[in-house]
Amino acid sequence: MRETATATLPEAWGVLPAVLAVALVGVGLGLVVASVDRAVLAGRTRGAVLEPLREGARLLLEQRRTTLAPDRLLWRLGCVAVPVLALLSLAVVPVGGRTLWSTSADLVWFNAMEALLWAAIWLVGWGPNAFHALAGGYRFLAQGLAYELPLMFALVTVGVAAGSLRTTDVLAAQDGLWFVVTMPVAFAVFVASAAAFAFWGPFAAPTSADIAGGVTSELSGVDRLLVEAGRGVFLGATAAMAAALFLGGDSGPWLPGPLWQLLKTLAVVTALVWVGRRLPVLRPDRTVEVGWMVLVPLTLVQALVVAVLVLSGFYA
Amino acid sequence: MLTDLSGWVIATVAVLGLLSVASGVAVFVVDSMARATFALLGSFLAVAGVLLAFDLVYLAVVTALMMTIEMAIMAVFMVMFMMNPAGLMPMTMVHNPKGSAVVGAGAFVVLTVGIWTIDWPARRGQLPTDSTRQLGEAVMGSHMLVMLIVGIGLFATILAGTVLATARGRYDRFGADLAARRPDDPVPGGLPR
Amino acid sequence: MDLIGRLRSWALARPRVLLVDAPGTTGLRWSLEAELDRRGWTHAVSPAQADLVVILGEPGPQLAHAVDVVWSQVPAPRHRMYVRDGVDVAVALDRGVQDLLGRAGSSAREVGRPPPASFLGSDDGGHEGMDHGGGHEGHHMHHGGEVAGLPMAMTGPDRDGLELDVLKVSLGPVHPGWPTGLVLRAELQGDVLAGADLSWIDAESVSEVGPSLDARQSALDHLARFLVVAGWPTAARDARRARDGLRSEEHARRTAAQRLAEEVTGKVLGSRTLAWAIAGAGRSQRDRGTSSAHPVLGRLRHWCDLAVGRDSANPPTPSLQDLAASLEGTEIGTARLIVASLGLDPVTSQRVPESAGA
Repeated sequence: MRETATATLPEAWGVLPAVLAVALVGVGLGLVVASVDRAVLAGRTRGAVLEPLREGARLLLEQRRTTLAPDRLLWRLGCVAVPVLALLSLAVVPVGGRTLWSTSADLVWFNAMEALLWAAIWLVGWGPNAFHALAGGYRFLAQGLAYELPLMFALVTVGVAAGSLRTTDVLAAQDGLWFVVTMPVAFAVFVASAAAFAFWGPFAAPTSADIAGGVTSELSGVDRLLVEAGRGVFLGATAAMAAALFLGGDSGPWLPGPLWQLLKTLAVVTALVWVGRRLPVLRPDRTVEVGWMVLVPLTLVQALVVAVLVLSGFYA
Repeated sequence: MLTDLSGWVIATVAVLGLLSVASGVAVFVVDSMARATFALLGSFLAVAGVLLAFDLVYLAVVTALMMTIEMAIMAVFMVMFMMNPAGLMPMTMVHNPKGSAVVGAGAFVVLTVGIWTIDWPARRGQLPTDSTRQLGEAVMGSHMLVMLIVGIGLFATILAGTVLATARGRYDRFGADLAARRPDDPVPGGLPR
Repeated sequence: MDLIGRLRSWALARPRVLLVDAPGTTGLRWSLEAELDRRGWTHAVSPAQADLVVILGEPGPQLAHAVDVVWSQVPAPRHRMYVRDGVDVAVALDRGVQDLLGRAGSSAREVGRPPPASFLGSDDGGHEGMDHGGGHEGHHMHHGGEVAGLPMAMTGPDRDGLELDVLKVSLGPVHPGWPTGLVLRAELQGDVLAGADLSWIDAESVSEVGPSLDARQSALDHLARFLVVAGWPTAARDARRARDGLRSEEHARRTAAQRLAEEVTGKVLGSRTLAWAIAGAGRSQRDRGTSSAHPVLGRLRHWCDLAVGRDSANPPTPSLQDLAASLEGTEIGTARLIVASLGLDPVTSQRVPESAGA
């Protein structure tokens, strides 16, 4: 195990700088996701970095939408919760080999933030008292129930192989071999679930055009900015987490560690967007059955294979 | 035991405890099903925060995770039976308020008195460095058999409940002689069959 | 100098546009969409997202009212503009942005936004979130009457044999990806249509025959609109580009557009994911359990064949009654796919002035 494996970012830099740095990394990751997405959607790279910023400024100028008889408290609560949860999930993602917060249950923390997102999105759908928003929230929960177990099993597989739920331990355990080699199914499921809980790309049914934007259909101004930014940060944070859990994080020859991690995260984001935008939105009534009938057994077998490898001393 | 904890932890636990009780009360005070659901979730999250302050990270995070999913599923059923978004219709959240108040207050008193009067054993040995590992060894070590039986029992209960609840059986799906190649479902699903 | 003003004009330089096309303005809509694609402006999918509401042609009285309802839901800064036939769309859009900026910059706050409740009870619809009657029969209280001006609905039997609440919603007549002027009055249980009723607004005042349009360009347009609803924005963009290229005077652009059309139809027809996602949509009750009937997929193939200039037998377009009947029991997204696959248009379709109920 490496020396840095137990040191956290606040211990190294102080609490406030560490929190600020992680928040900045989060916003940066969100911006990266939005830019790559924009470039693929518009079919041109010109202005791809600037456009998400312009969109943000536009939304800051915009009036907030009010509807007839909304549940304003729950609605606003849901909107604020989305980016907050995204940043909280980033607390256990290693930045430069260290995490903002290192506990003995990092992987479960990450999963819990994603589960709290269910509640937040449902509130965003429920709040405005509008049919399309509600249908979007409904779809999100149906989709969530289907991807949750495969996602949990994917995380469990990583924990079993590393013998720890601490992200820095997982990094250390990949010194010899990246986990993606022995657990490709878990990697694929993790990345696909990232798109699903950020309701993005092929899993954008909760916000798709056939229900007028779904949960986001009644959002404008700063509310929409919060939800869209939270989405981007979540996607970026999960890409960074995927790079850490399966692609060896900051390990690599020649280049310094943080640069390697950035490159791997960028690679995951680009691959995700490039593949995701080549597919139409998948309807939940189709994906849900695949989640339950195919992915749950598949990830269970994956966990079994890894468990047998652990017992045979493969990862030691 | 209190002497082991720093002043900050005690203050945090006190605040979170009050918060959890307050949101628990809110469950019965608010007049909308959505607000009641999320007040309950708030209460559970405050309890998770208390566990976190005690440095029981795994228990805290699992509490938050499970309770959130549970509340979200509750919300699904709520939407199924009550199409009214934003809960326009004010509705009371309590049945038999007097009786439940007596039972609730009684349970609270018994637990509080018990907690403060029992002579809790003093800690032997050192705090473990990894409480998650210790928890895992406690649950999966000597109690493995119990946990296996409980787990399978729970799973069987879930399956049995679903089978009892569903109105359509295999004869409805595959025909009286179970000869149909494709099941006859209102929503086809995503697998080729 | 004026930093705030410059920031504002930078932020609003690419507004989100909500298009409202009055009947018979298809060609104008194509020009406008081409210009929007060229500028990289995005289409709003709901009024809450829009900055600029562009109304094409002369809306009839009922459509004009629907536009007012939509307009009441657009957050400030906002601007509403009318584009008539024969106008240079690029110039019109430039002026629209200038006016939008002018409104955003003027210190006087907008006054006179009618409260949402004032649109309740008007029969010719509007948009989601506005005129639905929220319905609820709680297990604790049984109220009649209404809350916040919204009528309470009764429960009804659902397809699984339960008694569930029924929400009455009217969708359209102005709705991105939806034929403008078509109103769906739906009874919803969850996201499943328990009852459906389709009608065209302004049915009396619309002329039967519109300007003739090129079959291939129309097919590409239908394809693009369908792909928007199906949630495939990159393919929809390519289909629109091919359509706009085919309208060009230059031979080189037309051949490039022809290639793009072949490319995009090949991509759509070859996409197993799309076929998987929409297979079975629009299948009627009696076809269930057989593999044969995939009406939406079949119609998609038809548009693709027309788009590349292949002959294709026109599949029969159902009447509004039959269509409304086939929508019952479907999920709202599926219903949108079925309607989008038909390429309905008030001008060319057989119109029934009175409501076609089911």
